[in-house]
Amino acid sequence: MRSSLCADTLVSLGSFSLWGGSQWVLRNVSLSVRRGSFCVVLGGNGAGKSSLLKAMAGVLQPPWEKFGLLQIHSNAHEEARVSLSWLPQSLGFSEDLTVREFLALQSVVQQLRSQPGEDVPAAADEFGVIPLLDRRLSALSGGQWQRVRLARALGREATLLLLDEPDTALDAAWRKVLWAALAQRMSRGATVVVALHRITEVGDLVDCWCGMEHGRMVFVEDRRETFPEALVERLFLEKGLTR
Amino acid sequence: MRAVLFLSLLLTSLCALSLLSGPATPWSDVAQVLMGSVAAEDFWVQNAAVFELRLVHVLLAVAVGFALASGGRAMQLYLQNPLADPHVTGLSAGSTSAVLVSFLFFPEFANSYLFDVVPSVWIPAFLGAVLSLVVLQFLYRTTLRRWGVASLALVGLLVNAVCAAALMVIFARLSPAALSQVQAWTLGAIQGHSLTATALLVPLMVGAGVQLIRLDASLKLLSFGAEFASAERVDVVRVRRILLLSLMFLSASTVCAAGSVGFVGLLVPHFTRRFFGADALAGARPWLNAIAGAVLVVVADFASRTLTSPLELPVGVYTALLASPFLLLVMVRSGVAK
Repeated sequence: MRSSLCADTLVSLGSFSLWGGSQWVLRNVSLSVRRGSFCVVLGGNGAGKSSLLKAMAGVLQPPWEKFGLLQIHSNAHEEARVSLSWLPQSLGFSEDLTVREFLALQSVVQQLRSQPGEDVPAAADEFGVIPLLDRRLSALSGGQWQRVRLARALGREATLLLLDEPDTALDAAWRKVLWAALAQRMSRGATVVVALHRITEVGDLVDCWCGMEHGRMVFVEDRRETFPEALVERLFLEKGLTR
Repeated sequence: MRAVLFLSLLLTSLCALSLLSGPATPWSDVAQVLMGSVAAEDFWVQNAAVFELRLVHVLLAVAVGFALASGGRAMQLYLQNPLADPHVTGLSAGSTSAVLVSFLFFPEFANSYLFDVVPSVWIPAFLGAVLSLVVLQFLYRTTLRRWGVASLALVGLLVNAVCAAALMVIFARLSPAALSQVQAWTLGAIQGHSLTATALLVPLMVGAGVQLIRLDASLKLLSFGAEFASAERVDVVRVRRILLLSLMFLSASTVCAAGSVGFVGLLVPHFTRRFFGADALAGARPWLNAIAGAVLVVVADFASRTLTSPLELPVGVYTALLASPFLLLVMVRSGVAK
């Protein structure tokens, strides 16, 4: 397990644990994510991938409690707070908005910071959302809804992208678009952390593989060249998921 | 924008109609003024007292409708529940109960005024709302926090249940004369307040309504879940605090103005969502909703003053009678359209 903290570290976790109200969801997790890297978090269902991303996004609500160290480091070029964008695994809604309204929906804080005319992000075009702008959210298919959510999450030029299974419900063509979009964000300096089940398509992008099991980090492989085949097989063998 | 303009014009015309007409000034008299056979000034002076009374009714009706509809929408968004309205928090029940308890211990409150202007019942009404908010907050913090947004509805349910039981006990102990007066009030009846008292209540109700409208974008983000909202820079705790404080002022002031008027907060948000939802921009929707609430209560108040004159049925009776079939019609029509 590696937890080296160097100058280009953006996120660092040290002996980080998370209590979910009735059980430990994360136990003693240590990890450092380098600035500008693409980090993939692997693991079966219930391994703690989503909780790890939520904790990094700083969105945990009661009764969740965190212990240990979790830091997001800003450097001189960034603002006081690193801008981050979090794509949750699923999202329910009660008010039936149109896609355009959903993309333009901003809290008061965001309204103060945004420039006028920013209603539809450029990523809407990237993910083929423009023809859907006047549709109601309830009228979208699963894949369309996922693309709309991606357009929102990637629409802002965030420094840290935390994406929880972003390829869910996307067909092969849109998955290709997604990986290309992420590669482009990285070339502009973004750091990407992705929780994934499918590992076949992202190999070239990845700088760092992490494997999780029962809330523990079982491996962190930082080398880009070697895919930790044996470790991943150990993690997924029983679940029938191979490369 | 066009829908906001249309509803505002409708509301203005209804207010003018409600102000000008009624049993005391028949249409024939108004027509004579409009045709110029009677000087408008004379007509105004002759009926000054009547107009003042109606002005109070119209102003309070607009403010009550505006506030309750905004409160209903805010609660439906916050609790992600289509059955929610501002009364689910138990704040208005607390306020109403406190007023009735004060009648038991201080019977003179029913007809006394502070500084000759403000009815004495305002004190227990506001104290009751504050006390309910303290109970709500205490229970939420100590035991029910882990239930998420649903806890607010649960605690509200408890407060409502205790208050309903308390009302029954109080009803049993009131004199028959006081009882009939109080029963109408608990169904929602716009009382004959002075113009000064109205001028104090209206800004409170409209202010609370506007505050809730300003929260609308944050509440919409919250309707996707507290975690998502938090990632979108919504200060969840602050939004909840502002929501509850606004609801407290809203409940206390609407109880002072009209007792507990039902159905406005529950039905109007559904009506506007279905009737204007497709056309209106998301930013305009909370305003449309608030104005539609004002229209409903102005019509209900006008109906209660004219239809069964000289007997005035509570406004709450007419809001239910008017809103339910209208909403049903809109639902059936939108169902057929789909």
